[in-house]
Amino acid sequence: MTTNDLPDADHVVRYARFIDILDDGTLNCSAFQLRKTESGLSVNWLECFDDKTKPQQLDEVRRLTRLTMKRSGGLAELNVGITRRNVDRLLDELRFIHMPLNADEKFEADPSHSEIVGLPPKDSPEADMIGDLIANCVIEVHAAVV
Amino acid sequence: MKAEVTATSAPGYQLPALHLVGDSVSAFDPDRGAVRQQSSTSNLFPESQPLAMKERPKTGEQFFISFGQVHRIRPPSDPWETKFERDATIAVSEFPESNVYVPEVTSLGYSVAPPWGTKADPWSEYTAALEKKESSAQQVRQAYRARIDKLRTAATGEEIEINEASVSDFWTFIRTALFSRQAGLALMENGNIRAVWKGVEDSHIGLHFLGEQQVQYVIFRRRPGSRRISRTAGRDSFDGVRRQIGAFDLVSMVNA
Repeated sequence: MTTNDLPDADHVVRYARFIDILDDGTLNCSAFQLRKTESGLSVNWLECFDDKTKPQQLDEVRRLTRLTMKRSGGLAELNVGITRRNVDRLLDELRFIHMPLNADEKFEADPSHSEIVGLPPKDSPEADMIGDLIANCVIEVHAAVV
Repeated sequence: MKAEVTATSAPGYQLPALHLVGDSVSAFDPDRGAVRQQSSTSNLFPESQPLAMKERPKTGEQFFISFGQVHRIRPPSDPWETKFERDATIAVSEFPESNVYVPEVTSLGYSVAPPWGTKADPWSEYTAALEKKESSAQQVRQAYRARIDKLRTAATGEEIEINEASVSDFWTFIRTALFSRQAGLALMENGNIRAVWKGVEDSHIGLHFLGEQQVQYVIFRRRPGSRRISRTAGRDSFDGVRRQIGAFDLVSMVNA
Protein backbone atom coordinates (compact mmCIF):
# COMPACT_ATOMS: atom_id res chain seq x y z
CA MET A 1 0.00 0.00 0.00
CA THR A 2 1.25 3.45 -0.84
CA THR A 3 0.30 6.70 0.80
CA ASN A 4 -2.16 7.28 -2.05
CA ASP A 5 -4.25 4.26 -1.14
CA LEU A 6 -7.52 5.06 0.58
CA PRO A 7 -7.95 3.68 4.12
CA ASP A 8 -9.98 0.48 4.39
CA ALA A 9 -12.40 2.09 6.82
CA ASP A 10 -13.35 4.84 4.37
CA HIS A 11 -16.03 5.07 1.71
CA VAL A 12 -16.34 6.03 -1.93
CA VAL A 13 -19.25 6.65 -4.27
CA ARG A 14 -19.47 5.93 -7.98
CA TYR A 15 -22.03 7.34 -10.35
CA ALA A 16 -24.22 4.62 -11.85
CA ARG A 17 -26.34 5.36 -14.90
CA PHE A 18 -29.91 4.18 -15.36
CA ILE A 19 -28.70 1.47 -17.71
CA ASP A 20 -26.43 0.11 -14.92
CA ILE A 21 -29.26 -0.22 -12.41
CA LEU A 22 -31.28 -3.42 -12.41
CA ASP A 23 -35.04 -3.46 -12.03
CA ASP A 24 -34.77 -4.13 -8.28
CA GLY A 25 -32.50 -1.13 -7.69
CA THR A 26 -29.31 -3.16 -7.30
CA LEU A 27 -26.43 -2.65 -9.68
CA ASN A 28 -25.26 -4.54 -12.70
CA CYS A 29 -21.58 -5.32 -13.18
CA SER A 30 -21.45 -2.59 -15.83
CA ALA A 31 -21.50 0.04 -13.07
CA PHE A 32 -18.03 -1.13 -12.09
CA GLN A 33 -16.43 -1.56 -15.46
CA LEU A 34 -14.27 0.94 -17.27
CA ARG A 35 -16.13 3.31 -19.56
CA LYS A 36 -14.96 4.70 -22.85
CA THR A 37 -12.72 7.44 -21.51
CA GLU A 38 -11.63 5.91 -18.21
CA SER A 39 -8.22 4.49 -17.34
CA GLY A 40 -9.34 3.62 -13.84
CA LEU A 41 -12.78 3.47 -12.27
CA SER A 42 -13.58 7.01 -11.19
CA VAL A 43 -14.99 7.30 -7.67
CA ASN A 44 -15.25 10.01 -5.05
CA TRP A 45 -13.76 9.60 -1.58
CA LEU A 46 -16.35 10.75 0.93
CA GLU A 47 -14.03 11.11 3.95
CA CYS A 48 -12.02 13.60 1.92
CA PHE A 49 -14.63 16.06 3.18
CA ASP A 50 -13.95 15.05 6.75
CA ASP A 51 -15.51 18.06 8.38
CA LYS A 52 -18.89 17.34 6.84
CA THR A 53 -21.82 15.02 7.48
CA LYS A 54 -22.62 12.24 5.01
CA PRO A 55 -25.35 14.25 3.22
CA GLN A 56 -22.96 17.17 2.97
CA GLN A 57 -20.22 14.93 1.63
CA LEU A 58 -22.60 13.68 -1.05
CA ASP A 59 -23.59 17.23 -1.89
CA GLU A 60 -19.94 18.08 -2.38
CA VAL A 61 -19.53 15.14 -4.73
CA ARG A 62 -22.55 16.28 -6.76
CA ARG A 63 -21.29 19.85 -6.84
CA LEU A 64 -17.76 19.02 -7.94
CA THR A 65 -18.45 16.21 -10.39
CA ARG A 66 -17.39 16.62 -13.98
CA LEU A 67 -19.98 14.11 -15.11
CA THR A 68 -23.46 14.99 -16.23
CA MET A 69 -25.40 13.18 -13.56
CA LYS A 70 -29.01 12.35 -14.30
CA ARG A 71 -31.94 11.99 -11.97
CA SER A 72 -32.40 8.40 -13.18
CA GLY A 73 -28.86 7.54 -12.08
CA GLY A 74 -27.48 6.96 -8.61
CA LEU A 75 -24.39 7.28 -6.43
CA ALA A 76 -23.37 3.81 -5.31
CA GLU A 77 -21.55 3.80 -1.97
CA LEU A 78 -18.82 1.27 -1.22
CA ASN A 79 -16.65 0.61 1.80
CA VAL A 80 -13.05 0.36 0.65
CA GLY A 81 -11.96 -2.50 2.91
CA ILE A 82 -15.02 -4.66 2.44
CA THR A 83 -14.83 -4.30 -1.33
CA ARG A 84 -11.14 -5.13 -1.42
CA ARG A 85 -11.63 -8.18 0.78
CA ASN A 86 -14.57 -9.38 -1.30
CA VAL A 87 -12.52 -9.54 -4.46
CA ASP A 88 -9.05 -10.21 -3.08
CA ARG A 89 -9.12 -13.95 -3.77
CA LEU A 90 -9.65 -13.20 -7.42
CA LEU A 91 -7.87 -9.93 -7.85
CA ASP A 92 -4.76 -9.13 -5.81
CA GLU A 93 -4.17 -5.89 -7.61
CA LEU A 94 -7.39 -4.06 -6.81
CA ARG A 95 -6.56 -0.71 -5.21
CA PHE A 96 -8.44 2.46 -4.32
CA ILE A 97 -6.08 5.33 -5.11
CA HIS A 98 -6.57 8.97 -4.27
CA MET A 99 -6.14 11.00 -7.47
CA PRO A 100 -7.42 14.56 -6.85
CA LEU A 101 -8.28 16.62 -9.90
CA ASN A 102 -6.85 20.07 -10.30
CA ALA A 103 -8.96 23.01 -11.31
CA ASP A 104 -9.04 23.88 -14.98
CA GLU A 105 -10.83 26.41 -17.18
CA LYS A 106 -14.15 24.66 -16.83
CA PHE A 107 -14.06 22.94 -13.47
CA GLU A 108 -13.27 23.61 -9.85
CA ALA A 109 -10.67 21.31 -8.26
CA ASP A 110 -12.10 18.01 -7.00
CA PRO A 111 -10.06 16.83 -4.02
CA SER A 112 -12.23 13.72 -3.55
CA HIS A 113 -11.58 12.18 -6.95
CA SER A 114 -10.07 8.73 -6.69
CA GLU A 115 -9.80 5.67 -8.89
CA ILE A 116 -10.22 1.94 -8.48
CA VAL A 117 -7.36 0.37 -10.42
CA GLY A 118 -6.29 -3.18 -11.16
CA LEU A 119 -9.51 -4.22 -12.83
CA PRO A 120 -9.55 -6.89 -15.54
CA PRO A 121 -9.85 -5.82 -19.18
CA LYS A 122 -13.35 -4.71 -20.06
CA ASP A 123 -15.61 -6.95 -22.13
CA SER A 124 -14.06 -10.03 -20.51
CA PRO A 125 -15.88 -12.64 -18.39
CA GLU A 126 -13.57 -11.67 -15.53
CA ALA A 127 -14.68 -8.05 -15.81
CA ASP A 128 -18.30 -9.16 -15.49
CA MET A 129 -17.49 -11.30 -12.46
CA ILE A 130 -15.45 -8.62 -10.68
CA GLY A 131 -18.13 -6.06 -11.51
CA ASP A 132 -20.76 -8.28 -9.95
CA LEU A 133 -18.61 -8.88 -6.87
CA ILE A 134 -18.13 -5.14 -6.39
CA ALA A 135 -21.82 -4.52 -7.03
CA ASN A 136 -22.61 -6.96 -4.24
CA CYS A 137 -20.61 -4.73 -1.87
CA VAL A 138 -22.72 -1.64 -2.49
CA ILE A 139 -23.99 -0.31 0.84
CA GLU A 140 -26.51 2.14 -0.53
CA VAL A 141 -27.44 3.88 -3.76
CA HIS A 142 -27.91 7.59 -3.13
CA ALA A 143 -29.72 10.00 -5.41
CA ALA A 144 -27.42 11.40 -8.06
CA VAL A 145 -29.46 14.57 -8.41
CA VAL A 146 -31.38 16.19 -5.57
CA MET B 1 -39.02 -50.42 -25.48
CA LYS B 2 -42.05 -51.43 -23.65
CA ALA B 3 -44.42 -49.06 -22.00
CA GLU B 4 -46.55 -50.59 -19.34
CA VAL B 5 -49.74 -49.15 -18.06
CA THR B 6 -49.58 -49.82 -14.39
CA ALA B 7 -52.95 -50.24 -12.83
CA THR B 8 -54.47 -51.01 -9.54
CA SER B 9 -57.85 -50.66 -8.05
CA ALA B 10 -56.60 -50.04 -4.56
CA PRO B 11 -58.44 -47.15 -2.89
CA GLY B 12 -56.38 -44.04 -2.52
CA TYR B 13 -53.97 -45.19 -5.14
CA GLN B 14 -51.55 -42.52 -6.25
CA LEU B 15 -50.77 -42.09 -9.88
CA PRO B 16 -47.64 -44.04 -10.65
CA ALA B 17 -44.34 -42.42 -11.30
CA LEU B 18 -42.79 -42.34 -14.71
CA HIS B 19 -39.52 -44.14 -14.26
CA LEU B 20 -37.01 -43.49 -16.96
CA VAL B 21 -33.68 -45.19 -16.83
CA GLY B 22 -30.68 -43.12 -17.76
CA ASP B 23 -30.15 -39.41 -17.91
CA SER B 24 -33.78 -38.44 -17.87
CA VAL B 25 -35.57 -38.97 -14.61
CA SER B 26 -38.98 -37.55 -14.14
CA ALA B 27 -42.17 -38.27 -12.33
CA PHE B 28 -45.78 -37.57 -12.91
CA ASP B 29 -47.01 -35.14 -10.32
CA PRO B 30 -50.60 -36.05 -9.57
CA ASP B 31 -51.28 -32.82 -7.76
CA ARG B 32 -50.40 -30.70 -10.73
CA GLY B 33 -51.28 -32.98 -13.57
CA ALA B 34 -47.91 -32.53 -15.12
CA VAL B 35 -44.60 -34.20 -15.05
CA ARG B 36 -42.27 -33.02 -12.35
CA GLN B 37 -38.64 -32.94 -13.29
CA GLN B 38 -36.33 -34.47 -10.76
CA SER B 39 -32.92 -34.42 -12.27
CA SER B 40 -31.60 -34.08 -15.73
CA THR B 41 -29.60 -31.44 -17.43
CA SER B 42 -30.23 -32.46 -21.00
CA ASN B 43 -33.98 -32.05 -20.83
CA LEU B 44 -34.30 -29.05 -18.59
CA PHE B 45 -34.62 -26.64 -21.43
CA PRO B 46 -36.72 -28.19 -24.17
CA GLU B 47 -35.96 -26.78 -27.55
CA SER B 48 -39.53 -25.72 -28.07
CA GLN B 49 -42.24 -24.45 -25.82
CA PRO B 50 -45.36 -26.59 -25.77
CA LEU B 51 -47.38 -23.58 -24.76
CA ALA B 52 -50.09 -23.89 -27.34
CA MET B 53 -52.04 -26.92 -26.29
CA LYS B 54 -54.68 -26.41 -28.90
CA GLU B 55 -55.41 -29.95 -29.76
CA ARG B 56 -56.74 -32.25 -27.17
CA PRO B 57 -56.13 -35.92 -27.85
CA LYS B 58 -59.04 -37.46 -29.67
CA THR B 59 -61.43 -39.86 -28.11
CA GLY B 60 -59.80 -43.19 -27.57
CA GLU B 61 -56.29 -41.87 -27.96
CA GLN B 62 -53.73 -42.39 -25.30
CA PHE B 63 -51.08 -39.96 -24.30
CA PHE B 64 -48.58 -39.28 -21.61
CA ILE B 65 -46.95 -36.11 -20.42
CA SER B 66 -43.22 -35.84 -20.10
CA PHE B 67 -40.97 -32.84 -19.64
CA GLY B 68 -43.90 -30.55 -20.20
CA GLN B 69 -44.80 -32.04 -23.55
CA VAL B 70 -47.65 -34.25 -24.52
CA HIS B 71 -46.80 -37.41 -26.35
CA ARG B 72 -49.33 -39.37 -28.28
CA ILE B 73 -48.98 -43.09 -27.97
CA ARG B 74 -49.07 -44.82 -31.29
CA PRO B 75 -49.64 -48.50 -31.92
CA PRO B 76 -46.92 -50.61 -30.33
CA SER B 77 -44.90 -51.01 -33.48
CA ASP B 78 -44.61 -47.27 -33.99
CA PRO B 79 -42.30 -44.93 -32.22
CA TRP B 80 -43.73 -42.40 -29.83
CA GLU B 81 -43.98 -39.03 -31.41
CA THR B 82 -44.19 -35.64 -29.84
CA LYS B 83 -47.44 -34.04 -30.72
CA PHE B 84 -46.90 -30.33 -30.50
CA GLU B 85 -44.57 -27.74 -31.95
CA ARG B 86 -41.94 -30.07 -33.28
CA ASP B 87 -41.79 -33.35 -35.11
CA ALA B 88 -39.01 -34.85 -33.13
CA THR B 89 -39.54 -38.50 -32.76
CA ILE B 90 -38.74 -40.04 -29.46
CA ALA B 91 -37.34 -43.43 -30.02
CA VAL B 92 -39.07 -45.93 -27.87
CA SER B 93 -35.69 -47.30 -26.95
CA GLU B 94 -35.09 -44.17 -24.91
CA PHE B 95 -37.52 -45.46 -22.35
CA PRO B 96 -36.42 -48.94 -21.41
CA GLU B 97 -38.16 -50.63 -18.57
CA SER B 98 -40.56 -47.76 -18.16
CA ASN B 99 -43.74 -47.66 -16.24
CA VAL B 100 -45.79 -44.99 -17.86
CA TYR B 101 -49.04 -43.53 -16.68
CA VAL B 102 -51.29 -43.56 -19.72
CA PRO B 103 -54.66 -41.92 -19.28
CA GLU B 104 -57.19 -42.45 -22.00
CA VAL B 105 -59.40 -39.63 -23.20
CA THR B 106 -63.07 -40.39 -23.62
CA SER B 107 -65.86 -38.50 -25.30
CA LEU B 108 -66.78 -37.16 -21.86
CA GLY B 109 -63.38 -35.61 -21.58
CA TYR B 110 -62.28 -37.79 -18.75
CA SER B 111 -59.65 -40.37 -18.52
CA VAL B 112 -60.93 -43.85 -18.14
CA ALA B 113 -57.49 -45.12 -17.43
CA PRO B 114 -56.58 -45.77 -14.77
CA PRO B 115 -59.78 -47.30 -13.53
CA TRP B 116 -59.01 -46.11 -10.02
CA GLY B 117 -59.27 -42.59 -11.38
CA THR B 118 -60.71 -40.53 -8.61
CA LYS B 119 -58.49 -37.70 -9.71
CA ALA B 120 -59.80 -35.07 -12.06
CA ASP B 121 -59.09 -35.48 -15.73
CA PRO B 122 -55.29 -35.25 -15.94
CA TRP B 123 -55.49 -33.61 -19.34
CA SER B 124 -57.60 -30.79 -17.97
CA GLU B 125 -55.35 -30.43 -14.96
CA TYR B 126 -52.35 -30.37 -17.19
CA THR B 127 -53.71 -27.80 -19.61
CA ALA B 128 -54.99 -25.64 -16.74
CA ALA B 129 -51.54 -25.69 -15.16
CA LEU B 130 -50.00 -24.82 -18.51
CA GLU B 131 -52.40 -21.94 -19.05
CA LYS B 132 -51.54 -20.55 -15.64
CA LYS B 133 -47.85 -20.77 -16.38
CA GLU B 134 -48.31 -19.32 -19.83
CA SER B 135 -50.16 -16.37 -18.37
CA SER B 136 -47.34 -15.81 -15.93
CA ALA B 137 -44.77 -16.15 -18.70
CA GLN B 138 -46.64 -13.58 -20.79
CA GLN B 139 -46.52 -11.12 -17.90
CA VAL B 140 -42.78 -11.66 -17.60
CA ARG B 141 -42.29 -11.14 -21.34
CA GLN B 142 -44.37 -7.96 -21.18
CA ALA B 143 -42.18 -6.69 -18.33
CA TYR B 144 -39.08 -7.47 -20.39
CA ARG B 145 -40.46 -5.54 -23.36
CA ALA B 146 -41.19 -2.52 -21.19
CA ARG B 147 -37.75 -2.68 -19.59
CA ILE B 148 -35.95 -2.99 -22.93
CA ASP B 149 -37.89 0.00 -24.24
CA LYS B 150 -36.68 2.05 -21.26
CA LEU B 151 -33.12 0.85 -21.78
CA ARG B 152 -33.33 1.87 -25.44
CA THR B 153 -34.39 5.36 -24.48
CA ALA B 154 -31.65 5.61 -21.87
CA ALA B 155 -29.06 4.26 -24.28
CA THR B 156 -29.76 7.10 -26.68
CA GLY B 157 -29.14 9.58 -23.89
CA GLU B 158 -25.84 7.89 -23.06
CA GLU B 159 -24.79 7.76 -26.72
CA ILE B 160 -24.74 3.99 -26.62
CA GLU B 161 -25.94 2.04 -29.62
CA ILE B 162 -27.94 -0.94 -28.51
CA ASN B 163 -26.78 -4.22 -30.05
CA GLU B 164 -29.87 -5.68 -31.72
CA ALA B 165 -28.16 -9.07 -32.10
CA SER B 166 -27.84 -9.15 -28.32
CA VAL B 167 -31.50 -8.25 -27.83
CA SER B 168 -32.49 -10.93 -30.32
CA ASP B 169 -30.35 -13.51 -28.53
CA PHE B 170 -31.91 -12.57 -25.22
CA TRP B 171 -35.39 -13.24 -26.59
CA THR B 172 -34.29 -16.48 -28.19
CA PHE B 173 -32.79 -17.68 -24.93
CA ILE B 174 -35.83 -16.71 -22.90
CA ARG B 175 -38.16 -18.44 -25.32
CA THR B 176 -36.20 -21.66 -25.31
CA ALA B 177 -36.53 -22.01 -21.57
CA LEU B 178 -39.83 -23.66 -20.77
CA PHE B 179 -41.05 -20.97 -18.41
CA SER B 180 -38.75 -18.33 -17.15
CA ARG B 181 -38.51 -16.49 -13.87
CA GLN B 182 -38.07 -12.78 -14.36
CA ALA B 183 -34.52 -11.50 -14.51
CA GLY B 184 -33.33 -7.97 -13.96
CA LEU B 185 -32.12 -6.39 -17.20
CA ALA B 186 -29.35 -3.87 -17.73
CA LEU B 187 -27.41 -2.55 -20.67
CA MET B 188 -23.68 -2.93 -20.99
CA GLU B 189 -21.35 -0.19 -22.19
CA ASN B 190 -21.02 -2.02 -25.53
CA GLY B 191 -24.78 -2.00 -26.07
CA ASN B 192 -25.37 -5.62 -25.09
CA ILE B 193 -28.22 -6.81 -22.90
CA ARG B 194 -27.38 -8.51 -19.61
CA ALA B 195 -29.89 -10.48 -17.57
CA VAL B 196 -29.34 -11.09 -13.87
CA TRP B 197 -31.18 -13.53 -11.63
CA LYS B 198 -30.63 -13.38 -7.89
CA GLY B 199 -31.58 -16.13 -5.49
CA VAL B 200 -31.18 -17.05 -1.87
CA GLU B 201 -27.83 -17.07 -0.08
CA ASP B 202 -26.05 -14.92 -2.64
CA SER B 203 -26.87 -17.21 -5.55
CA HIS B 204 -26.50 -15.21 -8.71
CA ILE B 205 -26.62 -15.78 -12.45
CA GLY B 206 -25.58 -13.05 -14.87
CA LEU B 207 -25.93 -13.66 -18.61
CA HIS B 208 -24.42 -11.12 -20.97
CA PHE B 209 -25.73 -11.71 -24.49
CA LEU B 210 -22.93 -11.11 -26.96
CA GLY B 211 -24.78 -11.95 -30.19
CA GLU B 212 -24.31 -14.99 -32.44
CA GLN B 213 -25.82 -17.09 -29.64
CA GLN B 214 -22.79 -16.59 -27.43
CA VAL B 215 -23.21 -15.73 -23.78
CA GLN B 216 -20.75 -14.37 -21.26
CA TYR B 217 -21.84 -15.80 -17.95
CA VAL B 218 -21.17 -15.29 -14.26
CA ILE B 219 -22.54 -17.76 -11.72
CA PHE B 220 -22.27 -17.58 -7.92
CA ARG B 221 -23.59 -20.28 -5.65
CA ARG B 222 -23.08 -20.93 -1.96
CA ARG B 223 -22.97 -24.68 -1.52
CA PRO B 224 -25.16 -26.06 1.25
CA GLY B 225 -23.25 -26.19 4.51
CA SER B 226 -20.40 -24.09 3.19
CA ARG B 227 -19.42 -20.50 3.88
CA ARG B 228 -17.53 -20.24 0.62
CA ILE B 229 -19.25 -19.18 -2.55
CA SER B 230 -18.47 -21.14 -5.69
CA ARG B 231 -17.98 -18.89 -8.68
CA THR B 232 -17.50 -19.36 -12.35
CA ALA B 233 -17.35 -17.07 -15.37
CA GLY B 234 -16.76 -17.65 -19.05
CA ARG B 235 -18.18 -17.58 -22.55
CA ASP B 236 -20.23 -20.33 -24.06
CA SER B 237 -23.11 -21.22 -26.36
CA PHE B 238 -26.70 -21.30 -25.09
CA ASP B 239 -26.42 -25.03 -24.49
CA GLY B 240 -23.11 -24.65 -22.70
CA VAL B 241 -24.52 -22.00 -20.40
CA ARG B 242 -27.51 -24.18 -19.63
CA ARG B 243 -25.16 -26.99 -18.72
CA GLN B 244 -23.28 -24.63 -16.39
CA ILE B 245 -26.50 -23.55 -14.72
CA GLY B 246 -27.49 -27.19 -14.35
CA ALA B 247 -24.10 -28.08 -12.91
CA PHE B 248 -24.55 -25.41 -10.25
CA ASP B 249 -28.04 -26.77 -9.57
CA LEU B 250 -29.57 -23.36 -10.21
CA VAL B 251 -32.08 -24.23 -12.90
CA SER B 252 -34.95 -23.40 -10.56
CA MET B 253 -33.60 -19.85 -10.34
CA VAL B 254 -34.21 -19.19 -14.02
CA ASN B 255 -37.10 -21.53 -14.74
CA ALA B 256 -40.40 -21.38 -12.93
